[in-house]
Amino acid sequence: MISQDVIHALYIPALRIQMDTIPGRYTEMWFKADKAGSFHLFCSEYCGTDHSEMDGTLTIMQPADYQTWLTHAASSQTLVSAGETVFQSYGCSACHRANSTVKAPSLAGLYGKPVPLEGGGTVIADDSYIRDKILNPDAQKIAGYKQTMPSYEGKIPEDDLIRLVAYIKASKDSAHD
Amino acid sequence: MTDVAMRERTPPPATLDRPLDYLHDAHTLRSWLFTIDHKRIGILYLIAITAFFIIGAVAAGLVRLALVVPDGQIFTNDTYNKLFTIHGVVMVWFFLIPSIPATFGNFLLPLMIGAKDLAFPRLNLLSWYVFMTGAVFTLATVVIGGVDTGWTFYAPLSTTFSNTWVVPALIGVIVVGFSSILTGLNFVVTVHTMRAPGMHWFRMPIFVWTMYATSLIFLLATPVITMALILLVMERAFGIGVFDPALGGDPVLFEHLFWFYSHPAVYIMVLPGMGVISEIIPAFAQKKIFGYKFICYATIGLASITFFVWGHHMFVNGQSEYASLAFSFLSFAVAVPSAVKVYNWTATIHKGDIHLDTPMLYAMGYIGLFVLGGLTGLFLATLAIDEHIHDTYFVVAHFHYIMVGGTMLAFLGGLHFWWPKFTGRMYPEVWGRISALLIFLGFNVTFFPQFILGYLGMPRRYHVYPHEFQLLNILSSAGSTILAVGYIFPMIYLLWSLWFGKRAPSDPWNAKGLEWTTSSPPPKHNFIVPPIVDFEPYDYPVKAGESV
Repeated sequence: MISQDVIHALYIPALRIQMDTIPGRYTEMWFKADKAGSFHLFCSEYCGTDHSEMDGTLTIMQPADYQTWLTHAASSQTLVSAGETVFQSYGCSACHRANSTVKAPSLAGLYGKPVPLEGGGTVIADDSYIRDKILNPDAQKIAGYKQTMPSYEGKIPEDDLIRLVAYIKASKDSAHD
Repeated sequence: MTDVAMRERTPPPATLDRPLDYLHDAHTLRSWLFTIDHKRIGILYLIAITAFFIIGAVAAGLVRLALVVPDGQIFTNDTYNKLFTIHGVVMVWFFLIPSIPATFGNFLLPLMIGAKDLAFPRLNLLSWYVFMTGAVFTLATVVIGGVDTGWTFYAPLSTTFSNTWVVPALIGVIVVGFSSILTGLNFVVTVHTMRAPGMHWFRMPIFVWTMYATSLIFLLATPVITMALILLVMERAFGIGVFDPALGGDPVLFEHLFWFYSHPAVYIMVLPGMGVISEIIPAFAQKKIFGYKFICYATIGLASITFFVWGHHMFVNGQSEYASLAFSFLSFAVAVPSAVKVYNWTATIHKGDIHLDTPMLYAMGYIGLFVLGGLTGLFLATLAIDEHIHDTYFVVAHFHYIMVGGTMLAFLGGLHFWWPKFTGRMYPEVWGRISALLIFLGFNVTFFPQFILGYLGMPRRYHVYPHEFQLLNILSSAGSTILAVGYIFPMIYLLWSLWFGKRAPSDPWNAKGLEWTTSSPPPKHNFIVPPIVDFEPYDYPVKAGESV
């Protein structure tokens, strides 16, 4: 999770969990849904004028109900398919697709793997790493590649970043499929 | 003195062995505003913080009024946010932090160690002026439109997104910090250098120990908040990126800096209250305090551990779980010295000759409410439970049990206990007891429902809330009206007693301690004959016919 402006927090009292969402970095929260129903969710970190009206509902459905809802009400795109569109529109695919003429690392199967760094050592490619690499590619240079990618700081809004990360996360290494 | 003389409105003429007291020594406004007498400066602080308390309390009352309805129809969201912000800022920085140290500490510290004044009397007056300057800045923000960041001033809300008067409010708080630092410095030097002959460290009253520990926190922690708030001003006014990620900063850094001060600040508010209670209980149980040295060590222990628990305010902001584990453990450790003190107080009361006068009623209330506040602190220090109740009304209830149930009750208890010494007049005892009971009742009706609200999931700082929380909110608001009456009574009868109260003897409570050996109110230089200490502290009970 991330925030586009001030610090907020996602709080779901029925599940007894909450986590801050902070601008500039990802935080994580997970739960296992074992009961269907609708539950309050609140912003629990004071965020300004309409803090107390920043609320919503968590809906947990049985798989069959969810399928019905998907076909009837949901938007046609998932986060991953939206991410693919974004991946094209910002021109990421020009360098990062397979068979690209520019020597850029392929992103297929990247997620969760260790990435060797130029100065030695490795870093695990998690959500935060992917986001940081898009916004500030100079920070952690990858071994074996010339750093040519420009920074996208301020050029890609947070919602598109989330779509991009989801897309890259879902990109499987085709060689192993 | 005859009963008629005890009610006389003008003091008897001065004699060689009984000079004019500090109140009647001079009468002009100038003699008050330029005084360097620690007792008069204490009174100046008392007047100032009472005024700030009224402002903070009115804001709290309006917050409770707004929460009677769930839809937020009474005020706009902006007004509500400004109300709770001004309540928090004023109560924390302009009432609770200076409350006991700057009033009772100033007045009593030299008296209790047998000194003529503080080590730096002029610096002491300067502290008051610095305090008032800061207060003017912050209160000016209320007049020109308010500030809506909450007392925590979290970035980037405070630096980039708030459209209110954040900078003047910050300047006010920064300036007030210097007043705390100067007072702390003054107290530390005074305790080290000004003790009367024979008053060695383990003969000092516990109140002096707590003032000393509090002063160390003033000196070590306040500069951190000063620096952090200056960085906020820099970012907001000049766009220098420190905390806002859009400017290359890190908002979590501010949380660290803020709580590195603001958790120790809790002990700036709590330790002095513990000191007051440690004076009241032996006097009204007529029993030597149980485990004197353990209370001294526990005081220093609390003042030390408090510097290492700030991370418990950040369990749900993505902080590493290993850091959270350490902070959780250290927060639990705070319970040990706190419990030592509570056991010592109750053991002192045990089999004592108990007098349930107003100060003792407050002290008894304090022990109960502090225990509840402290134990719910352990809930919050537990990682798994905090995940649920963090930033809910449970937290609000918890710290009000510590700040109001603890510090405020100790302040009122101390005010009644030393009122005869401050003013030379007795307050009406019956009204005192009625008010103490009203405050205890009103406080619990106001804040206990908030524990339940929080556990049910109502987040704090909420103006609009789901309908199912309305009943408990109405109960809480109803309690606050009882609490308000409990606060208004003392304001009236204490003022009344200044002119119409019975004249107080030197030691109306049969209490021990150097401050009770001099007249009420004390002469300008505290003691006619400089005291020599050849007795142990809390040497109760006072035997029949013994002159204290």
